[in-house]
Amino acid sequence: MGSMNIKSAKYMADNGENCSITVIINERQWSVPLDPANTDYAAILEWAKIEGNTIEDAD
Amino acid sequence: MTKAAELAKIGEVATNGQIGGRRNMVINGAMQIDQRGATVTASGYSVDQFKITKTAMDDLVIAVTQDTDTPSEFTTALKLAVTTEEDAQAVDELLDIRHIIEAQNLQHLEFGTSTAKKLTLSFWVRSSTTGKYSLLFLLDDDTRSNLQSYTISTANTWEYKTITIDGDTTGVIDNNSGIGMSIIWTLSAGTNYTGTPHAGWGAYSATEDHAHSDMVDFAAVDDGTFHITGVQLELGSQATPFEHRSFGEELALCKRYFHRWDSTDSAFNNVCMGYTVSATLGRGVVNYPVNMRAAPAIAHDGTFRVFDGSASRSVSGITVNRASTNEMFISFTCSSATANRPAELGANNDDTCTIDFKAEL
Repeated sequence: MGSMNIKSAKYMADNGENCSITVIINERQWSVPLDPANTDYAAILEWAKIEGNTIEDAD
Repeated sequence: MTKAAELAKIGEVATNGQIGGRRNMVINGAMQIDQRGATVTASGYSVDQFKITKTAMDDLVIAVTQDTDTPSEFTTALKLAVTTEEDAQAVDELLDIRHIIEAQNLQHLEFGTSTAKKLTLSFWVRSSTTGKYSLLFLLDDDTRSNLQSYTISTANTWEYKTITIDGDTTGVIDNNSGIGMSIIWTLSAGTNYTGTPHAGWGAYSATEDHAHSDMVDFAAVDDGTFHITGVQLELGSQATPFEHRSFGEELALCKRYFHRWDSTDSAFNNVCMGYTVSATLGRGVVNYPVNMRAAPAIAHDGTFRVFDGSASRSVSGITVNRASTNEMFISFTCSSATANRPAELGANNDDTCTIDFKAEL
């Protein structure tokens, strides 16, 4: 029953280490920590498993 | 009720510890807390802790708000209004309201053991559509469910409902900060969600156990309204009066899952103190008002600035650098700042700024 519309996820890095994901969820931009207990992060990982969906690397 | 039966009920209430202490396992059951203060038209939250799920509806337009049409004991309710009805219900369409309880708050139910406790859910409800409605208790860890129903007898009239269920002696609720139990008030369900549900507790199948096939299709009625408030889940088989908590206490409970910082009080409210790393980057530490359930995601709206004591610079982005359940180290993108200066991050003469911290289930 997916109620999250996820678009354009991209890692953000600090000193070369990924620290969060910037993502559009339901037309709003969120910065999501890499915490498995965060339901948005868990949803992004599930979204990324679908063919065609990718979390972009950090700049 | 006979005197003996009445005494037996009183005894049961006392035995279950329902008198004294906290009884209600539901947070924001009186729908008082509405941090977002927004009208919701898609899946998401209007008042805190009560989530709207609108799945695959291609015609339906809804408006979900905090409302002041209530039973006399309350001042706020959750209102779901149909602006445009769903023309023809498809198999995969679903509309519901759900409240999700954190697992570690349900350990005293002793689910998954032979001493699992009975539960009673009570709530006030009002609907423009009379008939049978489904209500689902769903356990996340072992994927177990218990489907119940209630009936709206009179249109547009507040009615008090109570539903008592047995404890689940099979389904274990893990002792953690994840989902323990969802309580789901289904308003419309396509045939993918209806079937032949098992009685009482059993393994959950979305296609059999989510809703009753003979429940009303609330989404099909133009200008329909559904109100709910006074939601209480408690131990035992007897519903007791609603446990009214103070506004501040209820707000703190909600902020474990969602916290909104805003600049309503001052157009220059500060988010935090920090420092500039370079001309385009700053950092700071934000402490939450209460420990959150998980490290939260953040989203911001409005015009922000960073002020280093001599100049104010506009801020174009705020992101998570490092986050825990009690504080967040944030990064903010600015322009033309002077490196290595202390900096205050806040609203830039804008009383509509918000930063949402979200750790909901």
